[in-house]
Amino acid sequence: MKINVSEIMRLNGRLSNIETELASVFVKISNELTAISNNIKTSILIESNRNVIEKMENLSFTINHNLDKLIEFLTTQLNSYTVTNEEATASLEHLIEQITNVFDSSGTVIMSTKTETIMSGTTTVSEAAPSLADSIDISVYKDNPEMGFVVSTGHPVYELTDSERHFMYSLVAAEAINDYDDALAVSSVILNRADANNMTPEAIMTRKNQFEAYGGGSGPYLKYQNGSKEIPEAVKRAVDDALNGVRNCGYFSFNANSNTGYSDIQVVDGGNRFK
Amino acid sequence: MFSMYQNNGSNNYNINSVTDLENSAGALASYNQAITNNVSSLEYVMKAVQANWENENGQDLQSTIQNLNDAIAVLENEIQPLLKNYVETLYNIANETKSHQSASIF
Repeated sequence: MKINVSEIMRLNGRLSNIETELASVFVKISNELTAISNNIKTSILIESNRNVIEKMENLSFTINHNLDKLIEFLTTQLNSYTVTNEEATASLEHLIEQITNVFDSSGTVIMSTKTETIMSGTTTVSEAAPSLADSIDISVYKDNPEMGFVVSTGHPVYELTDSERHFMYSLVAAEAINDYDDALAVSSVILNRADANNMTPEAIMTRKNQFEAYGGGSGPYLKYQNGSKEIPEAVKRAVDDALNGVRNCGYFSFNANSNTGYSDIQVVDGGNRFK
Repeated sequence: MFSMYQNNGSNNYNINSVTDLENSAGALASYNQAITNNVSSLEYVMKAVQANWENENGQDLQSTIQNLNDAIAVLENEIQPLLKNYVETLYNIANETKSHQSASIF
């Protein structure tokens, strides 16, 4: 059976709205009938209104009870399909990783051929432009596998608006302060996650509990965002280079040295950098 | 179907505020329209849900859908006509009271 999950989610939300709106209307009608009873004082009308109110209360209960069951059913079904999708995504990511490893060993970067629009809006992944990547001076980045830095080019290119780019500068600056390698590593992590999840960099950066510097919208990135702290040129350069397809790690998690305060850094299995 | 009180000339009634009466009539009319809108939406959503779950997962839905359809029928066939009648009657009473204030207001 083919399920349009987004349509069901929309319908589920609409059901909740209907439930709320109908319950509200019933209460308002009951209040109005009570007001009328107080305005026109006749025992017959008061009794009639009381009957109507009682009938509407019963109806309201019936509708709410059954709508709750319907909403619960849809929510259960949606959760089931969401889990299925997550499992499928994980399998797909694993498959891509395996294929990437094979192609990496022969020096071919398969992601460089990816061309698609991610979500709506202005952010896109386009086919990597070898000429652009080749023209970038990557000599400022240290290639040190033992420390987790392996500089490479030809990764997906992201085109951001000025405000999106400024937001990324601010977040990376708050995470990595002023270090080419750390700034490129944080940028790489953001874009690696964007690649893997088919999401925009902005969506990745603002996801809950992903980047401490964002902090739900009130983190230290704000000082860079609003200009009270100057964004270092090294950070701007690293972010720009990363958006043009340069990466220095393939990890999905990374602790910037300048952020943790560690004097020495090591990379362990799983890609997290720890003291 | 509910019966409702209408002044047939043999009952006296005491109206505190004709303005409030007219406001109540207007409010009831708008609430009746709100019921119409929400019931239409509900019917659309239920059809869409049924169209997506015609397999074994949807069997449990049948009684729920039936209960909701029954409730909708009561709303459409009993409550809404009653409210419509109520609104017309309130306006009539208000107009009658205005034209015969000495006879209607004690």
